[in-house]
Amino acid sequence: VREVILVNREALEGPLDSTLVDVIHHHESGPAHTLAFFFEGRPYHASVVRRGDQYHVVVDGQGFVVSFGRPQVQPAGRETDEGVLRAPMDCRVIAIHKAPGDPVERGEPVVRIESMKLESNLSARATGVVSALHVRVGESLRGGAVVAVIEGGNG
Amino acid sequence: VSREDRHFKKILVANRGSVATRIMRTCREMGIASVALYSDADKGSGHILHADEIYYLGPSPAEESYLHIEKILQVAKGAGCDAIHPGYGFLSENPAFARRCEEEGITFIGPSSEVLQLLGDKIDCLELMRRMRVPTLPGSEGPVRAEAQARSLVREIGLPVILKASQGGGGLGTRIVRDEAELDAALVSVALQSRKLFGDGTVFIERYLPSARHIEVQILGDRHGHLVHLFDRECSIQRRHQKVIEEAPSPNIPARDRERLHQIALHAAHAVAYRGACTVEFLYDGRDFYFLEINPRLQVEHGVTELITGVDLVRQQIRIAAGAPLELDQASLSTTGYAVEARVYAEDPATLLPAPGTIDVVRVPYGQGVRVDTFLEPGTEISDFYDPMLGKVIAQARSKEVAVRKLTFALRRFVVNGTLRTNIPLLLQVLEDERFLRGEYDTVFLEKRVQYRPPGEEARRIAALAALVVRERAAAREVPPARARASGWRRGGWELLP
Repeated sequence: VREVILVNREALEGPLDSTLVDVIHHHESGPAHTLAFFFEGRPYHASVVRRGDQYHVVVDGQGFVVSFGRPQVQPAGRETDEGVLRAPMDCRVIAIHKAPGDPVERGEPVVRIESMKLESNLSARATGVVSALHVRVGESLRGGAVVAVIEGGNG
Repeated sequence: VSREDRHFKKILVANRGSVATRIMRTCREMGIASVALYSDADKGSGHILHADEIYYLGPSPAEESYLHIEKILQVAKGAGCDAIHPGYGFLSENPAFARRCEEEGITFIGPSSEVLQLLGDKIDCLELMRRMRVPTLPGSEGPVRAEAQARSLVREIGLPVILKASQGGGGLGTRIVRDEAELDAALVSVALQSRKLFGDGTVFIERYLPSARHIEVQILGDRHGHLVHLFDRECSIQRRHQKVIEEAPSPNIPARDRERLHQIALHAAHAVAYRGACTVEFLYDGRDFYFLEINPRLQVEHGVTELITGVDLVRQQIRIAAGAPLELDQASLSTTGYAVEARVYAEDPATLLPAPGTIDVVRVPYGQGVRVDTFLEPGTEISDFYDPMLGKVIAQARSKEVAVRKLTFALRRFVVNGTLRTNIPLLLQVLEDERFLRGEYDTVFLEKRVQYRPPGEEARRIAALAALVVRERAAAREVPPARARASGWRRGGWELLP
């Protein structure tokens, strides 16, 4: 089975062959790499930082996250199980609109969060009943943390 | 350093990030010592590397650090500072802070607490400007307290209107109403929101211009009643009422209108006998200018004005605060070419939502006419406690066309790598937009008329190849090939194999 190469959480089409790359400069400092290379006759500069299974790449101001193989954890916001509501980024909970046992409609706000002075709602992605609520008002969350579980969903 | 420049011995910079490094740079140039503050979240922030002395302020939340008036004053007194520069944001427009500085005998580098009080109250300020015949948008004269009052006003000035918090600013506590049926609910919601955000639920109404540009004029005034303008800036490229790309001078204004704009701005600053650096903000619908507000502080975008006028605005602020007369007169001021600034944020370019994280690599662009105001260091953590701005990249050249090309290249070479995202791809897209180059935009251009294009398959493939090269080279080094090891032993030596 060929490994899946994910770039910004989406699989890259076709195989990848590093022998087509002519690397003219490679500098390494801890997890950080600086590369200059030719690909199909054109020069590129890239900054690559390895963090665990993920490679953070910057080329021409554009940032990418590259990972090889199947991801261990579903990234935030791309949950296949629509009933699991996760924090989309590092944030703080400023209000909770639903309690365990409450019915909830798809699109309805479950909690209100704040990140860098910006407030937003975290809304249910499926209709159902709130079966678990894992956060409290004032709590700081890491991106990807599970906020609530909604059961019986038909999103 | 001339004696004349030694206005203060030591200045405390009551701020963080890019603006703190910017202020410290001028302090150094003037031979004045500078003091930096930091919170728990800012232990790895580069701004503390630029000061002569650094002091710990407290926990990360701003209320316990950069907004804590008494803690800041305690540090200032303990360190023997004779002045405080508040930068922008945080306490820069807080009359209570200015008053406490005045009481403690420490110079607040900015206007008096009375002027801050007046300008912070949008209703009082608008009333004064109307009295002084500064053109304003049609709207309520004073606060709107009752729904009936709001309805009759809306019938008089016409829809759409914008509801604003009297104590608001930066787009917070505002709401646009396009349909009279929404008016009552909007009034309640803005009042509630502004009570929560600013501790005051007073609301006023203005006519809303669906398509207008945001243009502002830089002003300097001394303690002796002299005021000069330093020309205009264009700040229409915004998201969530926050500026993202700024230019100086503003394009596409007929010369006579531009001259009139500068005079109106000077007149508005005279009306409050302004002392220090301030910005008079206007909306421009292609025909008329409408006064919005006076920002009584250094602006984020002050750098574009500095690059076209050659004037160091922070130096002027410090001199004015020390009581020195203006060293510039209107006739000696002029502009050279054009400057454009892009604000780089830790933000997802597609959703425009904050994308904080840790910085592993930072490489700042360079070259003639390229200026970068930033505070980033490897290891700097961009937390969710403060504004997610990473820095500003500014380019100056003889024409807009050349400056924009310069800025585009500089942004491509500005490497900020780590677990955060940056808005650089979106900035590049705006800079390459024909409408931006022609100056054909308004304040909703970025949000409504620019559709972010995520990187294509080709760009994603290049990124994946770079990661693959790093992975394969690391793998090759970690596990030496079995053949090499075996043959090395067989020969009974340690010689290197080809």
